Amino acid sequence: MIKPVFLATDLALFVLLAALLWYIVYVRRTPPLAAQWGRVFMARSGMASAVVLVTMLGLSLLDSLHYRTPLQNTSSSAAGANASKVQAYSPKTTSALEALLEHLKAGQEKTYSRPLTSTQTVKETALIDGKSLRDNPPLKFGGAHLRSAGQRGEIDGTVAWTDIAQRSLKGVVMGAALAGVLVLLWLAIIVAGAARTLPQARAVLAQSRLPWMTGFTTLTVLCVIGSMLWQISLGWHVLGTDRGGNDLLYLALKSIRTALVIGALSVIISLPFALALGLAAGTLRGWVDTAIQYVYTTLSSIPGILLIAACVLLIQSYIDNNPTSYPTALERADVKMFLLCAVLGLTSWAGLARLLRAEAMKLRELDYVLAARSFGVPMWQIMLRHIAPNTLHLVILTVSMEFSGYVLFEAMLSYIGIGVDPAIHSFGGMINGARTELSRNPMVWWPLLSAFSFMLALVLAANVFADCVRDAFDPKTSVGSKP
Amino acid sequence: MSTPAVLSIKNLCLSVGAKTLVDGVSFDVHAGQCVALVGESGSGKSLTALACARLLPDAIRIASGDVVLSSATAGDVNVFDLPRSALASVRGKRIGFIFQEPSLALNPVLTIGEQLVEALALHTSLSGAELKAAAADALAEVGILNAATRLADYPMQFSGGQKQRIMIAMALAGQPEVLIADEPTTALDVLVQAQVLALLNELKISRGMALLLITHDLAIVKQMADEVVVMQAGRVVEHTRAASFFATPVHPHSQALLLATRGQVLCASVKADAPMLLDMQNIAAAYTTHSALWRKPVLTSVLQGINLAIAQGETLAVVGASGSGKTTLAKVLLGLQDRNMCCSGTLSLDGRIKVVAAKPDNCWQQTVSVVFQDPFASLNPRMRVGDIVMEGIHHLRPEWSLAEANARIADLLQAVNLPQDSLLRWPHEFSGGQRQRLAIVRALAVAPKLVVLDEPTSALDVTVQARLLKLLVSLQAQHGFSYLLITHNLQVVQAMAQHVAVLHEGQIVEYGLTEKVLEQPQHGQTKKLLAAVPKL
Repeated sequence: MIKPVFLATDLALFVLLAALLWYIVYVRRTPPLAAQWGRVFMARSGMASAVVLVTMLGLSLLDSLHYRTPLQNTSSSAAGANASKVQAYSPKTTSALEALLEHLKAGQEKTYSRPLTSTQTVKETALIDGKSLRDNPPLKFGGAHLRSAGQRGEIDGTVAWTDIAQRSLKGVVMGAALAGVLVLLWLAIIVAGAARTLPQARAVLAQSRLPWMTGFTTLTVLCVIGSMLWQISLGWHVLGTDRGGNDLLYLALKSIRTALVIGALSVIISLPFALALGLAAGTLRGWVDTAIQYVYTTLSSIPGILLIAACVLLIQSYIDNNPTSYPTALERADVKMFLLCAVLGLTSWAGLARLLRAEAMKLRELDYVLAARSFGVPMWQIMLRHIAPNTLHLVILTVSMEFSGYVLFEAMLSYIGIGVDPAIHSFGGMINGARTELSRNPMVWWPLLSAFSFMLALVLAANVFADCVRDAFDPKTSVGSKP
Repeated sequence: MSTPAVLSIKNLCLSVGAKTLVDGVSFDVHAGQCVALVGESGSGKSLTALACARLLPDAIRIASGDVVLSSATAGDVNVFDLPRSALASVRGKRIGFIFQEPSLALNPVLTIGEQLVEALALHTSLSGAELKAAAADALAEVGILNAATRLADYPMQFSGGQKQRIMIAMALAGQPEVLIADEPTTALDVLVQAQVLALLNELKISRGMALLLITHDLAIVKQMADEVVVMQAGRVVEHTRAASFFATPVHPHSQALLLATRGQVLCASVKADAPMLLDMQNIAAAYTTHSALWRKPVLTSVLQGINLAIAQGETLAVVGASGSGKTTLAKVLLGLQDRNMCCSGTLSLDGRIKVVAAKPDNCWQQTVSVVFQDPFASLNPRMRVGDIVMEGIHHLRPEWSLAEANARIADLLQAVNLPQDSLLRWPHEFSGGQRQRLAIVRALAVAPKLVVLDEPTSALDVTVQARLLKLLVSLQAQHGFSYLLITHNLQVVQAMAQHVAVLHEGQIVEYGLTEKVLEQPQHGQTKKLLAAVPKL
């Protein structure tokens, strides 16, 4: 039996997923909110970016199912009866995604190789038939299936490209098939109960004002690209390998979870502070307001980077002093990442708090708050029932906009060396490596390109989605629609 | 018609999506004449006006129709045929616009002079010192004193009425042949309204300008208009001379509008033996402002020496210009005065005595409730109607059982003519008038003895307003509670109140029976107020 491992960020991510599901249920039961969210998805760009984001979320959830595999009992007779009872587990924690991409992990090379090549980029000296030969050695994994025994050098271009083309074609077909299945499933969920026959289902779709076609198209494109990459990756390093010979596609896929965790967790951790303090300051006024204002003014006058660097170094030294608390390297790194998120969240709530304070000050003068006060409703209840729900649009706006900010911020922090632990793959780490790689000769550009393209996809999707959310929730931009 | 048509709207149709908002509107506006465009909110009158200069929101499509501007000197122009680049020469130059809210229409970081000069420079060939002189002339023309020196002032240094005058000066900078005024006085006080209307009338005559006046107030129409166009649901239902409109309205909608606007006495006469419910003694209130941290606070008086009483089952109206302290009086009564307000005096309500400065207890809050002016701001958009009307009962009548509370709410909903399933719905599903009824249900749910009505009808259309007043009076007759009515609308006072108190700069200058005060005002301020109110 495998032993499941729950890392701090795994739990946080699953709690977050539960909260998200609860929020979806809540929105569906609140018609005004449902109408606003409907407007988000009615925009084509909103639908498309949501599909991309959900895919990324799915990947990172897969990557969050961590476990340790049991070790074979090798010391059978010598250890005696006691040992056989205690099942030993591998010191390495793996995730479901890693298991899926096992072939990429296993196909580790020695060092750099270009995307879709069969030889290493760096020349090495080898002894062939007693003669020392200096050339680009063949890769262990990339294109190895086309290589005859003892063959050195680059595989013939036509052969290699034919193989890649065949794999791509297979990938396209399989991707299309997968997309078809997924679309059918999706359709079944949308029209379930409402329709029994195909024309009925078509009518349901036509009635709904959401751009389903855009959603289906995006999903199909994602499936086709994904399955193409998968098929090619079974025989080649699609995006090349990095300095340590790791497949870059694998690293990029693993980095998605890191980016998502950092973005989502930091925002979520900053929320309670921003909400509680901002709303309390705006609603209660008086000395509470003064005190809270002093706190966040002080906080925002300390340079953020310095504060974060100091906290991260403190955490580092604490973990170094207590090595026994965390059994595996990954757990150690994960706790560090969790605390990094906490630090990011704790140092960045001032902006939203300020916004919420202003909004609460505006709302508390509205007639419905006065009416509640005339009934003697206590101020804290007014805050929860009348003011907080009416500032929700600001919170959602800020969350969706800050998310991508944090993802980029992580890249920057890793670049200056106070980001996530090197044991956890992250876009920041990949970009950090590019500092030296770009000045090599020949230039090693592919790790940066891989990190860049994946990060761009994530951040762009998040930003486009945030734009749609803003259009739907910002009263100033929804002039054309219903008043 | 004696003068040529300056602006003619022909078969104008506007739509958003598949919905038609304005359907086949045609009328002409002649030089030196005022056409009043009248209708309830949502009837398409503002859209028609905006379409004249193609200022419509993006979502709204011009389905068909023409807007032709004609002039002897500049020729005829069809606004809808012009390319976008040529529109600037029409806007401001041939059509001037003034809107409802003058404080939003002026840029707060530029001086009045800079803004006026900008408008003048766009439309005239003047430059330099000439421009300044022209700006000063324009200000003087709209009745701003010391115009030349005031050019250097910022918008915040002017009052609301003055800002509207400045807006008029800016709209007239390009010497337009047509001035479109969209509810130009709705945001202004009655006294200021009279001045602005007089100014518009004077400009119309002195410049021979055509005036398209959009309003929902028929009393203003009577005072200003030569012709009346009545709109209902996007269509023109009546178009006639003003005199014949008021004498013999033809369309049922016009008749309904006129009937609703004519004041009528709804309330019962004074009962001699009714016991006193509320007695305010020597109420004073003042704002404290701290000029510096350790200085003594400065007091700005808002109310002084108010002594008022309301008998059971009666209505007392408090009238006055804006800034006279009406709303502060209501807040003091409810115990909702601002934190930085310093109050004194005693209130005695239903036998209980409370010092004004003291926090109201549950008993007090049970006895007084409030209905606010704006039905869109007074219901929390994120709460179901049921939760909204139950909130008061929850806090003030915890001893009531759920069944008891539900029965009471059901009765009240029936009394205000709202369906019982309203409780499960959301505020946005109701119209303005219905929302105001919900606010009344909320106020009455806790079984109060005194209800404060803060301008309860001023945000509503006239026909809705009339129905709501009837409802309020019949509820009072049924349940026997008293109203403290705060308003500047004398028709509402006439309809509802037995007694009226006139507030001026925080003091009561006149108090008496409604008909007596309205017919034979004694104090100068009351006379001024009465003179300023446009009458039918």
